[in-house]
Amino acid sequence: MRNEDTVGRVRELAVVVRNAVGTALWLAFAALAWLLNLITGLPDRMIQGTLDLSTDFATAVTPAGRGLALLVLAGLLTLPVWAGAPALSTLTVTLWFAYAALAWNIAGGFAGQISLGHALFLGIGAYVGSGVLIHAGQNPWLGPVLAVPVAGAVGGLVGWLASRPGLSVARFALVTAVLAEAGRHAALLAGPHALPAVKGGPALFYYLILAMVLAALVLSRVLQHSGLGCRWLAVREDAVAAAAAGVNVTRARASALAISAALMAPAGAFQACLEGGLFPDSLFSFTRSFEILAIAAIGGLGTLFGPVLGALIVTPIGEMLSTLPARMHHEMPGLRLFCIGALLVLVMVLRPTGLWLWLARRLGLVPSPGGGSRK
Amino acid sequence: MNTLLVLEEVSKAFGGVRALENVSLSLDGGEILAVAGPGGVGKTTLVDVIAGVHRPDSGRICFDGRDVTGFRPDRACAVGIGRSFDPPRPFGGLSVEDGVTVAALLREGEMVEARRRALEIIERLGLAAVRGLPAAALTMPERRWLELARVLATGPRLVLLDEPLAELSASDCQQIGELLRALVRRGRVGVLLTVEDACMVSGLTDRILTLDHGELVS
Amino acid sequence: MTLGFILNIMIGGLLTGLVYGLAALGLSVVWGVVRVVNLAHGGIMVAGMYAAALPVAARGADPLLALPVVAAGLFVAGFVLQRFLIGRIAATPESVRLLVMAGVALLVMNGLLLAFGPGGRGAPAAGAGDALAFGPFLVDRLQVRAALVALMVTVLLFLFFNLTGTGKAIRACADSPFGARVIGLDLDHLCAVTFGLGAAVTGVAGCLLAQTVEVRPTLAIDYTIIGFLVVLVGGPGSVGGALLAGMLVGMVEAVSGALFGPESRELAGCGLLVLILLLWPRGLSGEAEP
Repeated sequence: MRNEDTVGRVRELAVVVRNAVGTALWLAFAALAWLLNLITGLPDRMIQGTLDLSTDFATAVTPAGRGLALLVLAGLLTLPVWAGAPALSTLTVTLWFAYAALAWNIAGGFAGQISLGHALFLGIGAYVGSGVLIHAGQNPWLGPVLAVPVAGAVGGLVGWLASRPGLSVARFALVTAVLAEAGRHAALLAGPHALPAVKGGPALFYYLILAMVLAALVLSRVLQHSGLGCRWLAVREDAVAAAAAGVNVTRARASALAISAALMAPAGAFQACLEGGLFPDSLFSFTRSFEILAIAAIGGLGTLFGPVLGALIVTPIGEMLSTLPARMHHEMPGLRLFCIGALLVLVMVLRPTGLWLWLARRLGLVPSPGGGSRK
Repeated sequence: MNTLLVLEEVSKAFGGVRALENVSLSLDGGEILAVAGPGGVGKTTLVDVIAGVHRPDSGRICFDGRDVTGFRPDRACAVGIGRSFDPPRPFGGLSVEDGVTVAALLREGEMVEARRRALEIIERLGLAAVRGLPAAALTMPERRWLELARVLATGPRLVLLDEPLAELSASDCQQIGELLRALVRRGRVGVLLTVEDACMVSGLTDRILTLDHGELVS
Repeated sequence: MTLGFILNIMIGGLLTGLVYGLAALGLSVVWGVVRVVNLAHGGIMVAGMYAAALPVAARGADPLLALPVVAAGLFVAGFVLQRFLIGRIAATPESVRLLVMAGVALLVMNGLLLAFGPGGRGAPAAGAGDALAFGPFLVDRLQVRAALVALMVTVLLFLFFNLTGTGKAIRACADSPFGARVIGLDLDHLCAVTFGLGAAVTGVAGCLLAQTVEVRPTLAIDYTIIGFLVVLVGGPGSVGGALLAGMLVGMVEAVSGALFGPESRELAGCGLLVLILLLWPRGLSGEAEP
C-alpha cells in the first residue's frame, strides 16, 4: 500500500517536472523569438502601418470573380458531405500544398527571395510541434503554436545570414538550400519517430487545412498592403534603389523569410500528423521544397490566388501520375516530379508571371490592367 | 550659414582606375551646388560615395556635423541624405504611387500617412496623371520626375541628384530649377547635382565645380 | 586516435576535396559568365557517374575510359540547354531564372530516377582499396589518381581561359556583358560554350567520384548541396576560390566524419558555411557579385 503510494507520488512529481520543463522550454523559445524580433526588427517595428484599406478584396475582383469565389468556397465548405473519401483525401493534400505554396509565396513572391529550403521549416514545425506532444504531454494544439515562433526565429536567422550586404538573390537561394539539408541531417541524427494517432476523422483534417488556407490568404492580403509588404515589393523590384529610399534591405529580406517560415511550421506539424510520424527524409525533403516553389511559381509569383491555383492544377495531376503506374503494376518513381519540373520550365518560359493572372483576366475575374491607363 | 556637407580628401578607386582623387568640398544649407564634367569623370561615384553605396578608400565625409563615412545607403538616407539615380531606377513593377510611398514610409510610420504624403509629392511634381501606372511604363522625363519624387518623399536635408536634367526639355529644366530653389529657400536643405554641361545650370545654381578625372578643378 | 590518423583522414579529404573543387568550378564559371546558377549541378554529376559506371559494369573496364565521352556528351547537352532554353530567359529577373533552373533540376534528377531506378550501382574499379604509402601516410590509390586528374582538368581549364581567343572572350563576357557585345563578341555563342564547358567539367568530376562511390540517383541532392557549399565558401566566379574551398570542405567533412560519424559530415560543412557567411559574407575570394 505504502509502496504504491510512493510510486504514485513519484509519478505525480514526474508529471510536474515534465510540465515545468515543457513550460521552461516554451519560455526559452519565446525569449529566443523575441530576441530575434529585436535583431531582425520583425513585426512591430516594420508593420507599422498595418492595414491600408484603400484597395480591398472587393475592388480587386470583378463581380464575376466574386461570384465564382463564393461558389468555390461554398463547394469546399460542404465537400465532406457530398464527396467520397478518395476525393476528400486528394483535396486535403491539394489544400496542404496550397497552404505551403502561399507560405512560400510571402518570401519568394512578395519579397522576391527565392528559397530552395522551405522544407527546413516544415521539418522544424513537425519536430517542435510533435516533440512537445510526445515529451511534454501537452495539449496537441500547443505544439503547432510553439512551432510557429521557433520556425519564425530560425527563418529570421537563416534569412539574415543569407542576405548579408552584397549577397544576391541567387546566393540567398543557395544558402537556404544548404541550411535545409543541414536540418535534414540533424533530424536524421535524432531519427524517425512514430506519433500517437490524432483523434478525429479525415473531415477534421480537411476543415483544419481549409481554415489554414483561408487564414493564409487573408494574412497574405494584409501583408501585401502593409508597410512591410510595400518594402518587400520595392526590394524585389530593385534592392539598390530600395536602399536609397531608406529601406533596410537585409532586414526586409530576413523578415520576409521569417514570416514565411513561421507560416510554414503548422504545415509541417499537419504533415507529421497526417503521416502518423516524424520521418526526416520526408519532412526535410530537398525535392519537397522544389515542389512547393514550383506550385507557387506555376500559379503566379507574388499573386494572391496563384499558389492556390497552382496547387489545384499540379497536385491532382501529380497524385494521378503517382497512383496510375502503381495500379498498372509498373512503379515509376520520379515521374510525378519529372512532370512538375517540365511544367515549371514551360510556364516560366512562356508566362513568367504565372497562370493565375493570365487565366483570371481571360475569364474576367479581375479587372484588366488597362484600368489605370494614360490619358 | 550652416555647413551641411563636408568632404575631406575623399578618394575612391575601382581596381586600378581612380574614380575620385582627393576630392574636398563643402556645401551649405540653402545652397545649390553643381558638379559638372563629361561622362566617366567620377560624378556618379561622387554621389555613390556620399550616399553610402561605396565606402571611400580614404578621406572623411561629414554630414550635418556628423561623420557618415561608410554608412550603408539606407542609414545615409535615414540621416537625411536622399539621392537619385542616373539612369533612373524606378521600381518597374510597382505603381508610381507605391514606389513613392515606400520612400515616404521612412518618415511616416503609418501606411495611410505615407500614402497621403506620397500623393502630395506626386501632385506637386505633376505626376498625378500617371500615379496608377506601373513605373516601367513611364517615359524618360517622367522617370526623372519620379526619381525626384522618391528623393523628396524621404524628407532629405541633403538632396543628391545624379543628372536630373539629362534628356529633359527646357521647360522641364526650368520647372525643376524652380522646385529646387523653393526647396532650399529656408536654408535648411542643400542640393548637390551633377550635369554634363555646366551651361545647363548656369542660372540655377549658386556654384559650379568641375570634375576632371576624379579631381576637382575650379 | 592519433595525430597520424587524423592527418591521414585529412589527406583523404583533401584529395576528394580537389574533385569537389573541380565540380564546383563548373558551377562557378557558369555563374560568373552566364549569370545563372546551375541548380541541376548534382544531377549532371550523377549523370557523369552513371556514364562511368555503365562500361565498368558491362566490361570491367576502367571508368576513366568514359571520361572523354562524358565530357563531350555533357558539353553538347549543356550547349544545347543554354542555346535553346536558358539563353532565351537571359533578360528575365534573377528570380525567374532561378525558378527555370529549379525546373531543370527537377527534370534532370527525376529523369535519372526514371532511367536508372532508385537502386544503387557499384563501380568498384580495378585497384579499389589499394593504398599507397608516402612515409607515414597511407592514401587510396584511386583517390590520388582522381585528384591528379581533377588538378589536370583545372589546369587545362585555366590555360583555356588565359591562352585561347575563345577563353579570353568568355572572360571579357564575365567582366562586362555589355562591353563584350559592344566589341562585337557573339554573347549567345560564348555563353553556350561556357555552359557546355561547365557541364562537362561537372560531369568529369562525377566520373572521378564514381570510382569510389556507389551510384544512386539520390546522390544528386548530396552533390548539389556540396557544390553550393563549395561555391558559397569560395565565392562564385573565382577559379582559385572554388579549388581552395573544395579542399577545405572535403577536409572538414572527412575529419568530422571520422570523429563524429558519417551523419555529421554535412553538418560540419554547413557549420563551415555559417562561419564563412559571418566572417566573409562574399566567400573566401571576396569578390562582389558576378
